[in-house]
Amino acid sequence: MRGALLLPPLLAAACGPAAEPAPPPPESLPADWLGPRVEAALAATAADALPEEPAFDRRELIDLLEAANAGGRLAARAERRLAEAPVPALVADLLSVVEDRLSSPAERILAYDRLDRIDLPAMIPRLVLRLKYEKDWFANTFLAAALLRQGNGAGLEALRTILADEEADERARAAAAAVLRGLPGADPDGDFAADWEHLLRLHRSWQLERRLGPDGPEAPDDRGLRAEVWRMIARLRSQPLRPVDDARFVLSRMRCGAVVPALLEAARDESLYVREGALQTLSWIGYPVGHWAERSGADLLSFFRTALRDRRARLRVLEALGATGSAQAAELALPWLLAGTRDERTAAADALLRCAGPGLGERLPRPEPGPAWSPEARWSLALLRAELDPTAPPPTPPPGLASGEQERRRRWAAARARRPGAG
Amino acid sequence: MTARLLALLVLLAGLAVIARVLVPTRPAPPVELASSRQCLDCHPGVAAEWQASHHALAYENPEVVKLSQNYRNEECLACHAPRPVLAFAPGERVLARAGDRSLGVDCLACHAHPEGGVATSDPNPPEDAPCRPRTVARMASVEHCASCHNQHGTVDQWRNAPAEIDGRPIRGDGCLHCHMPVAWRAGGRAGRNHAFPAAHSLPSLQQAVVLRGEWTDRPRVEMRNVGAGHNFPTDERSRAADLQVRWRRAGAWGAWEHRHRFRDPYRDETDLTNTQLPAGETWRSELEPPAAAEAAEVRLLFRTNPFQPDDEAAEVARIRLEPSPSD
Repeated sequence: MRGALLLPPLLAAACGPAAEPAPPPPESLPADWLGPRVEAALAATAADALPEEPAFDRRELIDLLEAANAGGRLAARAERRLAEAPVPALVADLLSVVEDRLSSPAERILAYDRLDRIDLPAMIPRLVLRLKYEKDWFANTFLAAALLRQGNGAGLEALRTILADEEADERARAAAAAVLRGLPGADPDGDFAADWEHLLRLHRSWQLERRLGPDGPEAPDDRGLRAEVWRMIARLRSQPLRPVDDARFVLSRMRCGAVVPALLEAARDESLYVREGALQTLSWIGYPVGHWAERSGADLLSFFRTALRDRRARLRVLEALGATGSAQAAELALPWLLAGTRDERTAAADALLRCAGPGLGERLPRPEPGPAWSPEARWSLALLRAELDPTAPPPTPPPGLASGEQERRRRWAAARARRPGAG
Repeated sequence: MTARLLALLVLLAGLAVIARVLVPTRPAPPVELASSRQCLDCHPGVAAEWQASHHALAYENPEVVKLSQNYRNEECLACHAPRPVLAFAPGERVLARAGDRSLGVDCLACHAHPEGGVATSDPNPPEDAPCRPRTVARMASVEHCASCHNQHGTVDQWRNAPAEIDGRPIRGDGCLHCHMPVAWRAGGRAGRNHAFPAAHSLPSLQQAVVLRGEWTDRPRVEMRNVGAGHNFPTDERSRAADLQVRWRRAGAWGAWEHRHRFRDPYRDETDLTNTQLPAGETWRSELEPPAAAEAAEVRLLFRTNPFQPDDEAAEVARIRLEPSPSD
């Protein structure tokens, strides 16, 4: 009898070290969780997207834009001709001009300037993408102005850079200063210094909440904008990375209300690449998603709870969960820290560094030496412990950790004060 | 009593011998592979090759670190610290892993089998190895490399390359032909070189192209891609190959002058076009000699990034041209 009692531990010893606690139950995803979300959304929004058929011949359009700036009867006739075109078709044509690598800076500026006079939110995604490729500083000021008119502050960084660089092209600096004068909420009696301070405030607000000021308007509920956002999300399916890079660039620089609901939907697409791309974009936006969820009442927690059952996308789910910064979400990450695979533990440790509240300190494991914990996970836990216990000695990076990964986690630790609910 | 004891001992010894013969040896217990660091002890030879390779350096390469702003540009992570390629469909792109990024393109990135253990192209892998190798044909296929290396079109360039040039096979049977040549392991076993000779190997570069010239009525120069099997240089943005020329006048050599750049520009360099040299193709140019030029030298510099200074670039070839006596 005694021998029988001894047998299981002996067997266990023969099989190697004692097993780790089992990971959370291997639940399968609800049957309707994954599906052709992108296909469905593209079909549902196709009629609202910007048209692909041009309204004008390209040369004619440039001539009209030039004539419209010339003044007199010629300008009036050109304005009439431009006004006759359907607005979405005109916007699509103007975007084609700024996207064409053969367009001259002067032609692009004409097109940006015209876009700045049109209210059509559907232009925002493709206009934001121009921030990545527009290299002419003077043109960048027109681009930033056109985006600001649509309530998008992604161009504020360009304005700030141009104005801060005293060696920049004087024409571009003057144009940027003029845009500053027209910033939403700018003091009409203020001088340049006041405008500059206002720019910095708006920029901070954009970084933190993707809004132009703490009371800045949320994204409009616009069918055309929704259609263009889904067209951008569809690029995440691409095997070549360039369209994916473009989509992530754009989607992470828009107001949350315009993109986060669509990204949460896309994070349930049947394509792993779409799910990964959508979740990664949520991570890149980061805390503004959490702030937006607090304002809008969106239930991110329920989303993450189910999405964590998606084995193939789990690392990205953990990343997005941490990046959006909700302390409640930390509870969802903790089981994967205690009993996930090595990569899951890493992703969970990283997530906790970004979102865990002060109550979690005692429940954090102390990693044993050995292959179960990556250097990244060890470093994240060490930084988190130091954050939660100011009396703890400053942590030292574990061996084998790349400098970029050290720095990335230091940045996350330093940003914790800005997480939603941090006060 | 002693005789009985002796008989018993002989019987036990016999049983032990029979058991040793009949009962198969237990293979070493399988190892759960969590990190490529676990591979290094059992495979020191391969590990040494890999550690000197640009796969090992993929994450910490200073040029990549600089271009990616120390990986603030997270786009680069997928191929510079990938999850195991076999977890994705053949040829489809990989995604970034969460940990051990400093190991770059490590053992598990190429060898981890999605169902546990490791994959190998060896048709007869040792059954008792702790990493439980199993044969996976895809390991030796172009698709295995394409997940990363086709991001900038290299594999498509190879697919479109002629099978042979001047009667010499150029495409081989895939990437391994040039980049993982056969290496002999301990015990006479054939393996593959894990140093992955490529753009950082001068002999590889010198096998890729031939630079020729002549000076009859005018100096002429041509460069032919005879051995790359894909464009020269391949890859977007980073690689550049420059032809430079210098002239000798009154017995003294002048400074090197830029003549032509072979390169695929980055996506936002909208004013440039792709000037890579496809496999089997020849680039030709006439040179304009300055007055009283006695001779010319032409050299090909390979830069791992377009801003690399001349003295850090690899000189792949250099030829001297002098006017032929008839002129």
